[in-house]
Amino acid sequence: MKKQKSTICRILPFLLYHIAVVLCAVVCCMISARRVRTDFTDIIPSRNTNKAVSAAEKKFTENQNANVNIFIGCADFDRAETAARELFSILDGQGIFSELTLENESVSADAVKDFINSNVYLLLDDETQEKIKANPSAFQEESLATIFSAMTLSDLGNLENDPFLLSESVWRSFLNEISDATSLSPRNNLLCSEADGIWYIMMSGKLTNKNIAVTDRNGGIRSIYAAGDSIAEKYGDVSVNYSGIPFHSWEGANSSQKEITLISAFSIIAVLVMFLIVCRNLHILKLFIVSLLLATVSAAGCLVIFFREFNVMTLIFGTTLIGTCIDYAIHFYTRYTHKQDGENTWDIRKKLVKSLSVSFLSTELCYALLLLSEYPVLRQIAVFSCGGLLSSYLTTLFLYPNMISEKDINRKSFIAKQDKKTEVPFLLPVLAVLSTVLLAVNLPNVKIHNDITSLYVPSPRLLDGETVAAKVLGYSSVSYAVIGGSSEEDVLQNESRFTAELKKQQNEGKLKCCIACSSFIPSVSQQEKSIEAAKLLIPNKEKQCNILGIDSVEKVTEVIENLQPSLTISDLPPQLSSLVSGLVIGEIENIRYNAVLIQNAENEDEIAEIAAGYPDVTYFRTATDISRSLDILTRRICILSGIAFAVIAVLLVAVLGLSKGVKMLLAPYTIACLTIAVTSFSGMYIDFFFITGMILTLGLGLDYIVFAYDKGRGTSFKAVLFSFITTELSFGTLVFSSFRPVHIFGVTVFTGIFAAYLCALTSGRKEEK
Amino acid sequence: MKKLSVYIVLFILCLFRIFASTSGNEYVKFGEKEIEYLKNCGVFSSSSLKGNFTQTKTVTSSGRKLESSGRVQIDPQRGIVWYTEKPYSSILIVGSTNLVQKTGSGKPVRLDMSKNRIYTHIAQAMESIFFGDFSTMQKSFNCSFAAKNGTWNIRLKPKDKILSSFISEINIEGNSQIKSLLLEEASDDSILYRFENLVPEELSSEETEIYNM
Repeated sequence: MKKQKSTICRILPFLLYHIAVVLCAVVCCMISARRVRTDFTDIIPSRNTNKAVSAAEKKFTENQNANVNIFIGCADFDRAETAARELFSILDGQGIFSELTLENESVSADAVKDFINSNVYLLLDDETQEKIKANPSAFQEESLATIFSAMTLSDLGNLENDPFLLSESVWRSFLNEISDATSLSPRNNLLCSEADGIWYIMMSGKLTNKNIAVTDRNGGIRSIYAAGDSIAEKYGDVSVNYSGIPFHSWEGANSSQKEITLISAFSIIAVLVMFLIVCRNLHILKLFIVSLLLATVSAAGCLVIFFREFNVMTLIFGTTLIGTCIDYAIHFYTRYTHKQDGENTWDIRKKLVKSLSVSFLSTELCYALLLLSEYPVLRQIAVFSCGGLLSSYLTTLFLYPNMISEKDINRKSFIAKQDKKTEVPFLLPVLAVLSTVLLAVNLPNVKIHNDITSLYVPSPRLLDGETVAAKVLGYSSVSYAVIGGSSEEDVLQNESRFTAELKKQQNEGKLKCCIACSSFIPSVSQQEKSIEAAKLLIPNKEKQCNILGIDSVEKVTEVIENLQPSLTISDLPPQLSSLVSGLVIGEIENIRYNAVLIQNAENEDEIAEIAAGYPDVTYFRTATDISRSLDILTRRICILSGIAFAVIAVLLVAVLGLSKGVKMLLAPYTIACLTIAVTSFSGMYIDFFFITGMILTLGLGLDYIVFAYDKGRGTSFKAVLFSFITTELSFGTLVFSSFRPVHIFGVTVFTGIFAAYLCALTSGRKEEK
Repeated sequence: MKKLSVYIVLFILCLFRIFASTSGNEYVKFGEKEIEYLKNCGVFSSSSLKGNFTQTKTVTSSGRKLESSGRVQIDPQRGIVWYTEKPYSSILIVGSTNLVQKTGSGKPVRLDMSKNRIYTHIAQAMESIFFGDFSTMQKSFNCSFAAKNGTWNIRLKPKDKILSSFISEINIEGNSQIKSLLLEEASDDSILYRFENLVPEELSSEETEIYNM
């Protein structure tokens, strides 16, 4: 009873941690459901310090992220139309879309004509207002010339209400806006465009929430692809092209799920096979499986405790836990196979606790550094790995001494044999000097640079789809600005001031166009100015009406003078509201927000400068913003790494003494120099994912040095070797990841750990007497 | 008596039918034969055209007719320029991808219509009418043809539903020259252009320069 009690006491920290993690995780899941996210936007940090603006941007992008476009292409329009209608009939009603549009009855101009005719005096643009103000009589003459010209855009049937044909300038302005915004034109009620001799018909849809969450492998996107493939196969000469973030997210999620399975399976099988070969004992499996299972459960538990939703990339990175969490078990087991007579497991633990703790703390410290990152995905990886490593550390220190016994050892196995003396005490300083020289030579090539656009390569199918979309829609890049204001009126005023600047850029050919609500619905103050300008024409009404043969002269005065500036966005006809409906973000924290889309901006820096001049405007240029913030973050991490190096130096000197501590510091220094030199030599930049890998390399690599220096009765090098192999197996598989960030991370850690192992081999070792 | 009244009605109907068949033309589907006929008339040329026009805009809702006149020049590559001279002067350039208007001493107003399929189809169709480019014409319109006493008519009806919501019909009349073009809008309003001396003639440098306005 006493012995039982003492055993429980000995493993109490282990028990407490695991029970606490599991209980807390269960409670958290019961309180609110956890969600695995697969969209890439989720790995991006919020780029604005203003919470309301961030929330507005998130709401806007989430709305945009649900939209998909499908382009049905064929040289023969009629065949394209038939195929498009068939595809629509398959997809409609499957519950994949909350909205799916192919045929658009609203493309008729009647509704726009009625809207303009009814509100012409409220819709005059600045240029027309200025013309009227400058000389009402000249404007009247010009209007007559337009009425009698060969062709007008506006309706002459409304001359009784609009004798000065002001609707002509409104039509011109609207047509300009519409033509700039889209290259699509209606044909047979379908929106289509002709490019390179191929007719493309656009079908647009908004996915339901269930189908945006693309974790369901049998979800809507799969059905869309299946339907599209069947149409393409049936018609032969018809192509179905896909565009929209949900497609990219779905493909990303699918390939990531495959990768997680492959990487995990490969790492586990490779590690287990290796141990069976070197240990020649099946009992060993129980140690590693227990360690692996507990670490995985704890890591996942910590993740769901601290995050309501987490990105699938966390789980891909998380597979590295397989290699790292069993390192402690390897050291314990290797040390146990070489135990002295009379030594029990608790004695082994006592001798290993220092090096295990130093190695655990240095690795945790490096992971903890990731917590300072603004990137949610890195914080998730940090929590996941820290939780898993702590489990592994506690399992090794508290559970193994109770689990491991003589029957777990095969004395004939490779691991049980003594290390050969491989002490080369001067090699590490030599390596350090060589690495320094190598880095110095390559220093001009060392450059911190991030380019988020190079990190993601879509599948050929999606690449083709996006190329078609760019051709058909007439633009290849879109950035956006979020405009705030205390009311709808305030937002429209702020928006029109900002877009006026953008129009200047557009006229200079520096951007294709900007789409804003205020382009179609002027603010109330703008409507008031419009009425004032129209009133200036009243003295000329009689002459105008006489020439045109209009009897009801007074009606015009009555119409203009009784006008109220009352137009709002909800008054827009369907054809125009469909262009701007996604731009109204709504109210967040008592502030109203709209978005302005900017297509094909030549120089985003100039737009950012313009936006900076307006306090209520926040400009977002996703790729550039992220790349720049990653540059800043990379520099920050470099500084933090320096701090971490200093902390580790203090830790090493405090635990191991000055001479040994300094010697050991040569190792991480060499690793860093060598990895940076090799990377820059191969033409790669020091980017965010590289530096993240470097941190982990230092943390994990230092473990080898610590163990290599440890007084380990001729066992340390074998333990280091197997730690090295297991780590390389798990990180090495990341090299083959199709996700470029994961790939870069894998390459960096793989190279760094190799350098660390070289350093460990060259480290001096004193045999325990 | 009852029988007599039936005969009278039938007689009136027959008279009406005879009148209809003599006053109007019998339209047939546009084909190779009709193209050959038009070619033999020598109506179309591949070089630029110049002439005078009189325009009547009819607004059905008010019964108003707005008349104007001026000069017209048509270039197969660059488009149509309408120089309205009376009662108010203006210049309208209908290019295949843009529309430019200049009234009085004001600045020309340019509209890029390259992405507006409805505009480009109407502009292309109008140009194709003057130069006898029947394949372009037939792309967007169902064409029918009638000829009588040396005068021919081409009737164009838009194939596209959207286009037909703007224009219900275009009628061109001519003999050895194009005489008139009637554009009937879906709203029942119409524009009738009557041409005089619309003949092939080289454009002067000044007339060519106008397209760059």
